Amino acid sequence: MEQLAEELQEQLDCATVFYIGPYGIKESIVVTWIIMAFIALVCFLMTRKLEPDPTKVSKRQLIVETAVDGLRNLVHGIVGEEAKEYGPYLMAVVLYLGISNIIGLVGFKPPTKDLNVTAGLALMSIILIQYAGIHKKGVKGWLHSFIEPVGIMLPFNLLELVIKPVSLCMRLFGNVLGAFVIMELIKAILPVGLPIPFSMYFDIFDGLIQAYVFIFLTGLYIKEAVE
Amino acid sequence: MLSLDPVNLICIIINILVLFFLVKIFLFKPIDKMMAAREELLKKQFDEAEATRQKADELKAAYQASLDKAQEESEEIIAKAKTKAQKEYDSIIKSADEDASKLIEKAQEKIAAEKAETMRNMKSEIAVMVMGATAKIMEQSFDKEKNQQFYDEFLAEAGEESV
Amino acid sequence: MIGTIIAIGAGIAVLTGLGAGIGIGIATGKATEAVARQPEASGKITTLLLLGSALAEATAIYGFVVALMIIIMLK
Repeated sequence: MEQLAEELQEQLDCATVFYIGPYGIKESIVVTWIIMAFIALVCFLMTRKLEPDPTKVSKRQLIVETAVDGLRNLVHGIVGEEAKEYGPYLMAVVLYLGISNIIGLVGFKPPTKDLNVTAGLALMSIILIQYAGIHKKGVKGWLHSFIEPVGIMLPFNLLELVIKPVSLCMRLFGNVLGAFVIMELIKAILPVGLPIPFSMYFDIFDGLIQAYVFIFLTGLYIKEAVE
Repeated sequence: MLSLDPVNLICIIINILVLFFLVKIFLFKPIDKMMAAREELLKKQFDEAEATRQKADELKAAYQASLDKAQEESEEIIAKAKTKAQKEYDSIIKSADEDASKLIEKAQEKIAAEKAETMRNMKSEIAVMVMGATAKIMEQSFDKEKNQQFYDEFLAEAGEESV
Repeated sequence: MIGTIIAIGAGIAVLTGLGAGIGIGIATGKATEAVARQPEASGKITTLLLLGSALAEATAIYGFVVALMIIIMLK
């Protein structure tokens, strides 16, 4: 039992891979680089020599068109027509989160298991939400939105500014971490066979759902901000 | 695990921004470009089809017009022919009528002439017969019975002749 | 002794799972009713149910994170 706790503790810690001067770069950053390179490479290979004539498209182009169409429908269904320009960011995030949540299957440590990653994403989300509000309503309108519907709501609205990113960050982090811990416990009970169905749920299904939930909430907040 | 490290946080933010631009450059830009090209292509095709359709419409209209014209012309021709035929028919009937009446007239004239000649012949014959009779009467004026007989004879003869 | 108290605290924190369980249960029940009433809308209802469940689950996850924090920070 003591051994299991030790091992779990070790697994949960995000190792520092190397140092740039005095600053340690963690494993999650390196895995993120790998994911970025993978996404960029796949995008680059898939979008070479696109044929505009719809009667002459190749299979590869059909796949990439379907995927992009699906992503666009997904994101535009969340943010609506008014905030369409924030769609590409959400699509990039959902691609990154989707891949990083299921990357545990191929042996990497999911970057989303590191609080820094989810915190960074949540920070960017809240900045984007406020930017969307300022961009749409102007600084005055944005400031005014804090005392809506009545002035007494000001502290709660200010509190929301903190709660929103914390909740986004913790939800994603906790889900991935929880799934990881439960998977480790199952593996400790029986390493063969038993983890497969659970891995299906915790690694693939839950990972993708959480990626969707993250951009869903971000998109919802953006939509709320531009209304 | 549960500690926030500012360096890593900044690294992640930079990473996400870089990823966003990578996705934008490598995925959305070519796709949008292709979509725009496709739209243009489709628009061009649509325009071409529209032009072809318009041309076809024009052709059809012209064809219809010429067809209508031909129809009118043929109708005109038929009407003309009809009137001409009617005229001819009328003239033929008229001339036939005239001919017939002429013929009848001629026939009547002929009949009248024949009649007149017959009359004349009869008159001369009667005169000859009267002369003959007179001569006979002169020969047998005494015999009353014979006279009567002769008279009857003459009458029979004359009747036969005149009929 | 202190370890026992920490463990009890962590256990209490994880009790938040109760709320998530009740919430997901209610959501699923309502979703079933909705599908029974309108079977043709089952696709949309399923999506909404998954989303709602994922959001409700977050409560349990917060409890879990807090429990972990208690264990790790106070050890």
